[in-house]
Amino acid sequence: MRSDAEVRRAADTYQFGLLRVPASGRAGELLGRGTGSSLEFQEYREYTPGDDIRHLDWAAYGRSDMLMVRLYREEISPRTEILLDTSLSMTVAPTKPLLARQLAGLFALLSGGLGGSPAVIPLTEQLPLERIGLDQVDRLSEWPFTSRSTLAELMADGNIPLKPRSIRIVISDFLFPLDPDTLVKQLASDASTLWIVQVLGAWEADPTPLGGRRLVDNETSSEADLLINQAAIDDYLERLHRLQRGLVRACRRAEASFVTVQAEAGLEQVCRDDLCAAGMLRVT
Amino acid sequence: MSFANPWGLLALTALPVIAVIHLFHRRYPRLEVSGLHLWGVAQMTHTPGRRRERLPVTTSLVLELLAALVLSLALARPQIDSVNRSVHLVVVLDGSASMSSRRLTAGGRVKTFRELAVERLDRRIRDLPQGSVVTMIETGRRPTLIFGPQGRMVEAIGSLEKWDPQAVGHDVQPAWNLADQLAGETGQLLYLTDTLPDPERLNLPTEMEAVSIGEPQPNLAITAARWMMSTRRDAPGGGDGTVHLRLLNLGRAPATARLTATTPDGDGSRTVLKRSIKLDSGAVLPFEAVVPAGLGQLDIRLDSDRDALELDSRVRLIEPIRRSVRVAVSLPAESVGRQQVGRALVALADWTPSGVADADLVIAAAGPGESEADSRSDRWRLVIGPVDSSEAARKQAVDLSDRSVYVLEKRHPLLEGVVLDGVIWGGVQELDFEFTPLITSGSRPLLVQGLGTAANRFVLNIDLARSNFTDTPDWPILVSNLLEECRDARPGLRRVNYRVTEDVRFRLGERAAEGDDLLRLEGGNRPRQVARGRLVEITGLARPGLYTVHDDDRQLARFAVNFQDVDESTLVTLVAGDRPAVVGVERVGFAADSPYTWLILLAILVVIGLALGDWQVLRPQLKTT
Repeated sequence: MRSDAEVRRAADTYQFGLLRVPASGRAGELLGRGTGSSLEFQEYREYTPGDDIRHLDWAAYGRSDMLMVRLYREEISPRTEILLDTSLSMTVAPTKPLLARQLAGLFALLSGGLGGSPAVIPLTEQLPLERIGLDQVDRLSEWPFTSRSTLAELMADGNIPLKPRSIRIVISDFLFPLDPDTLVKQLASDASTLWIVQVLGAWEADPTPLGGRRLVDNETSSEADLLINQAAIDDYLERLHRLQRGLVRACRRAEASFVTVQAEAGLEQVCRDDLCAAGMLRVT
Repeated sequence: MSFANPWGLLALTALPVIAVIHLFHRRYPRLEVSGLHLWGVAQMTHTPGRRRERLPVTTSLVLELLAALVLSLALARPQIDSVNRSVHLVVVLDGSASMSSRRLTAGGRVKTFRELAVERLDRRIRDLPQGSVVTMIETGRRPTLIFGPQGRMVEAIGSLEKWDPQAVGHDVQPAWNLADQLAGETGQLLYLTDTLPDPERLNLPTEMEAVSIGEPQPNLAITAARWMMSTRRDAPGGGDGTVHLRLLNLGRAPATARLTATTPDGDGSRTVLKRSIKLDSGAVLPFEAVVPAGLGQLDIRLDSDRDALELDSRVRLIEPIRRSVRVAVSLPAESVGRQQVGRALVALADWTPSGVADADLVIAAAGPGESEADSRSDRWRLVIGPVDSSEAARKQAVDLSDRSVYVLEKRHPLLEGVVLDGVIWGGVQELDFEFTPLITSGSRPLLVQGLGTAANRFVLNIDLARSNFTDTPDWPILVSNLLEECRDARPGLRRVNYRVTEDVRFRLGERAAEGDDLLRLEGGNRPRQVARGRLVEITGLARPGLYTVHDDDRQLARFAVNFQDVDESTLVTLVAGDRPAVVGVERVGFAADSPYTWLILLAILVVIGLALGDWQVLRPQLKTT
């Protein structure tokens, strides 16, 4: 994706929306949102039974007879894993796979820029899943979107081996049968940070009446005849919004971030309007 | 079924005519979508690779075909006694190891409870009405769908070859819940097990019928197995090993058994140990035997005619790997510290004295420049006070009486078992470096972990000449914990023999831990992939056997997993019986009474209904066109 001028420009303009530690190194390059055990001191609070005794401030205790605990920022390993949904459903609009590839490439470049070790994992039927490192990230531009396996199936079967304490980014349209709570819980398990980006085509996000149509699910090949009128659209939108609300709720529980982007908007607008607003990116 | 007027069946020729009409009917334009389920419409499956499109199964077509079918049947006047009722049978199979037990009978053919359950299920499926469907789920830590959902009943029994009950005790509720979901409102639920669930403890779904084919059986089991190598340091590279076993007779009568241990030898095996053992009912026999070093692997079996379950009478053990720690003591020759450290180390096993440069663990005296002395991140270091040995500093140092209150960081593994009762801690000084306290008294740090150095550096802020710490049991415990923590931090497996479902953890060397390639775990049912890291964790191993972890072609670890679960080995409590479903379910399908006049009347009503329905379906389409 280095050959994609839009991705290069975005990589120069934005950085990860996580705080940087003053000291750099293989471990502890980025800081999480929680309180943890890094060396960066955050604040004091009074000691309560059960607190880590190692964080008691003995000097302050000697001076004031008050037991105080030092709170530190949680350290996050800079390892970034980007799960890219390459199923057929992502090809319904040509802009969807384009934006998905660009986002995966951008996140990989941003992580690599911090000295981390990003890995893009295209979700395919071919097991074991391939991990594409920063040096091979250009392969994404030719990567075929032909898989019939869904993210939920791969997670349920334990076919996505995820590394602990990594920054995990998932790019998919999430238009497959799923239980948001279970899926997000599995994705967030042992992750330092979880970001979920839902990529939808314009018509998927906001369909217009088309009259009678034979709907063909390009992943399952299932078909159905339907009169696409306002009533049918309202029903569809109600289900789509219920799915999105479920994902948002599950993400909130797992302290993850969720954002829906529209593929036709293009990378530049998505970065500026959506990803920055969701706190995933910020301007350099 | 017979027909009073078979000529009426000629009306069935209307069916292909309707189909042809629909084939030439104008189709809707195709529209590819991502999530058809979100449109909330009934789906029809499109066969991939087919060149000619299939006849679209629209509601209109179905209604018209049904109307023609019903009319022709009405004309043919069918004589029906009863109409078949199709059934969806959802079977939950107990996956616990006790289902693999044999039913021991005097002189008769021996069958396992699994085989008996298969026979029972076979009869049950044969009795199902034509067109019924079957779903089968095996219980386990995670329920497994082994047939279906809604598979053809003729294929159901054949698929049971995959059912190999070997699980340790587990919760069956998730499998019941899954079965309940798959059955929906019309499926029949059947739970096949070897003992009826206790209604006090388990909430069997009211729609579920439970069938137990178990009977009380005698059983002998190896409930614990351990192989330890000699801890004598005077036997370098060798020393015998000791195998510890716990044997249990879980039957109601005394039993005689033969205990055999073999080791692989070329293509065959060599017997290392053979004993005859008598076990009273309910007796636990701790068994111990010395075996020579270098065997590599031991396969132990307990054979008896009073043993119904083979799985718990077989154990495979791997010879433990020695993980010796190199220890350098650089304390002054005549100091109290050197004497006391030496005294504690003598009692401990699996360490070798070494020079400071090669040591994994260095025990040194505090002094100027000591904190900068080490740059190796994998080295452990215990520094013993006095922190400042000048006369002035020693005078200012504080001695804590045996009534002092010591606060210990109990979660730190270094202090496991340390209590400090009655300890006089002498020579406590101010510390001028950054640290994390592990033992304190008031605001005085007594044992600390230093910060800012690469090594794991611990400092005892003490003057042993003014303290009784080394005279208490806490001293060797602390040194032992330090030695074990240092050993655990080294690459490799801490243990090589595990029980099923026990988590396996091992460390990789710095070089091996780098990279993103996954490791390969071989053994059990199928190979698995494992994430690479400094600490490799493998969980959920449910099958006994030998496992190996590979990095490409290089074997990184080898360990054995054995079945050990006393509850599952207890077969005397098995009880046969049936518990019918409390709430019956409606079967899928339809039923009608014998007099065909009612059928004709019904057919006329249905045809009218279908015609109205068809008009209702077509009306919106006509509007749009």
